[in-house]
Amino acid sequence: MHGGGILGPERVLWYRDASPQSFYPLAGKMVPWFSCLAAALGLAGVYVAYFVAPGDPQQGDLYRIAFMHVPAGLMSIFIFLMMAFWSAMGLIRNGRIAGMMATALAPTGAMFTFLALWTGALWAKPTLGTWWMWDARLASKLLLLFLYIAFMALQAAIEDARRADRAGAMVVLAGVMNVPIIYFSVQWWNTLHEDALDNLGGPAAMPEPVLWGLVLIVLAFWMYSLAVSLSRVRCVILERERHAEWVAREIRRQG
Amino acid sequence: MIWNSWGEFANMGGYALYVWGSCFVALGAMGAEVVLLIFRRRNILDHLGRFVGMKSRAGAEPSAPERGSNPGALPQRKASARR
Repeated sequence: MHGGGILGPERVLWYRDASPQSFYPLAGKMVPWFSCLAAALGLAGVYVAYFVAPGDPQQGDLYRIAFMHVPAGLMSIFIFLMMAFWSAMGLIRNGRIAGMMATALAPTGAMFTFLALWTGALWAKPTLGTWWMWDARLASKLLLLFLYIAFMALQAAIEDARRADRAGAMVVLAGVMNVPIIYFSVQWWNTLHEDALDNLGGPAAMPEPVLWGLVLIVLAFWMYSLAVSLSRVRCVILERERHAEWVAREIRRQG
Repeated sequence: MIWNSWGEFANMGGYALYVWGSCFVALGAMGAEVVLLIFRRRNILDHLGRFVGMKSRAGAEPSAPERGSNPGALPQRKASARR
């Protein structure tokens, strides 16, 4: 069964019950590729966003915050969905890697959620007159940040890795219902965020370079997330499997 | 090139504070994440390197491959940070 070719590491696990020992070097090989892709897409995206895309008739150059705000917001949701996937996999198949991937993704997701909130506030102040408002989109996004933090805090508090993974999985799977709320909140409720979107127009209305800038930077953030979380999962593997012989060999090889 | 000068670019149509405030935090956050990850990896290799060194100096047989997910007790170490 082909486990979703676009997602990266998922592909591996469908073919065999992969062990941390076999996943460790595989992840290591993928990191440089994703890093280079992230850098290339990021540079291209920044160039298009800041040197090609024209100013907005209403908001001038302020709208360029969108090139950080939108990708960060999308990644914060996407990463949480990936954590939900890995958490479910960990519970169903009881393998070790699934839990490790969920653990490895969390800090990156939290970072992007914070970034979305921060850039959103900076964008809102001059246009909508306020740094913050308790509307549906903002509140549910803040809740997402709290869920990430709760996940990480819970895992840090539990010594046994398996139990930590299970506890984290509970948080993520309970919290995943927040994701459609975040996404559809601007349609379901009358929100501050909705007014902002109206000002900017949809993909059909925006100039081509703006669309391209957004696409490139979203892809760059995605490649970055893959590179960073695969790097981090290698750290998690070393930490959790530190009593294994292959880890000792790896350490001796490194040092 | 849409900007007439670098000064205009820096000014972002008067919104410099907001646009660059976002940019620097974004780059800072991602840079910090990468740096912290590098430190984390280095710490692990240091700690485990000493542990491996201890074991081999003590002449201990390398342990058989274990399922390894239960950390167990390490000899005479303070509870090492798992993160």
